[in-house]
Amino acid sequence: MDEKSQYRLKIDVFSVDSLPMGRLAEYMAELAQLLGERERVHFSHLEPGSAVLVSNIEHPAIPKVAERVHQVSQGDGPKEAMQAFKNLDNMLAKDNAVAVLIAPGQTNVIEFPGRTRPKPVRYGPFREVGTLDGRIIRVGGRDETIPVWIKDGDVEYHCNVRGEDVARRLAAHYLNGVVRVRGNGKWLREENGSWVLQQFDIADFEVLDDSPLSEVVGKLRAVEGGEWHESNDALRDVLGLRRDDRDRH
Amino acid sequence: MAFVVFDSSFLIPLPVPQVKGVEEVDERLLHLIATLDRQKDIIIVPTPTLSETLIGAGDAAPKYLDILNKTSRL
Repeated sequence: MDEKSQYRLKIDVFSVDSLPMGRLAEYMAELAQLLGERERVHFSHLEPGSAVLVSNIEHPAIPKVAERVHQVSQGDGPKEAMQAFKNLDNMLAKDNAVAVLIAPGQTNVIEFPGRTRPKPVRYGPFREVGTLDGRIIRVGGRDETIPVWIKDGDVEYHCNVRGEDVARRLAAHYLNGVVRVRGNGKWLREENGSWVLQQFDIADFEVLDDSPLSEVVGKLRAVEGGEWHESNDALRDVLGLRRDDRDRH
Repeated sequence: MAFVVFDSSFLIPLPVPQVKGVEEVDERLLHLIATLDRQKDIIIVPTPTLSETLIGAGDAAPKYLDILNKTSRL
């Protein structure tokens, strides 16, 4: 197999001696997924120095592999190849490494930022006025700030209410119907992009109509005065609303 | 429980089944509503969809809003 058909994945922190066999197997599996053409791509050897995984490509598959690697380098590869790129980069970040995939002809085709990529950031906490919907599953406490727990599906919100009046009125809806509480929340955005509620101070609430959807539709249909039925093509009218005259060029 | 997002092509014929230009959707729409009811699913209405629907709602708009605001299912 000549150099023209070899791809090299060069990982900076490992040497042939320090790269564990299990980890090598994981890198090889993801690299095979990235290169594609699984029947025609073969592991050749590990080069000494920094760990360099050398893969041989059978001649008929060289153009397809080159195209696939080029697409991945542009961020536009097939889904499974892009996922392999992401998995390789995650593995490198965990191993505190960076790597480069070198194509035949010694050009750096894909660089894996690994440990150098920006670290996910946790933002907040932020305070924001808002609402929460759910069933009250707990009201009570001896302090001035009274805990109120609200359950919405699988999610539980642990809130507080100041003042006995609102707490007493809320207690009347304990495990009974759905309420919407208004107040001030303290939110934190985690590294994975999810928002976590740290604190919610309830100022007031309203009881929501928990009727089935079919009844809600019945109520909507009983309302008179709508004008959509006068249109000859409601969807075309909506699309017309979305079109901006300035976009015509 | 799941969340299902409605766009204008669903929300406009919901209160006005005789609306033209959206094909014969009412039977399918009511079947979908019954299915969502059984599964205790929640309908999400994005603000642009609500705006588009209310534009053609005429005098019914405030009442639509009142009903939508008070239900826990949308």
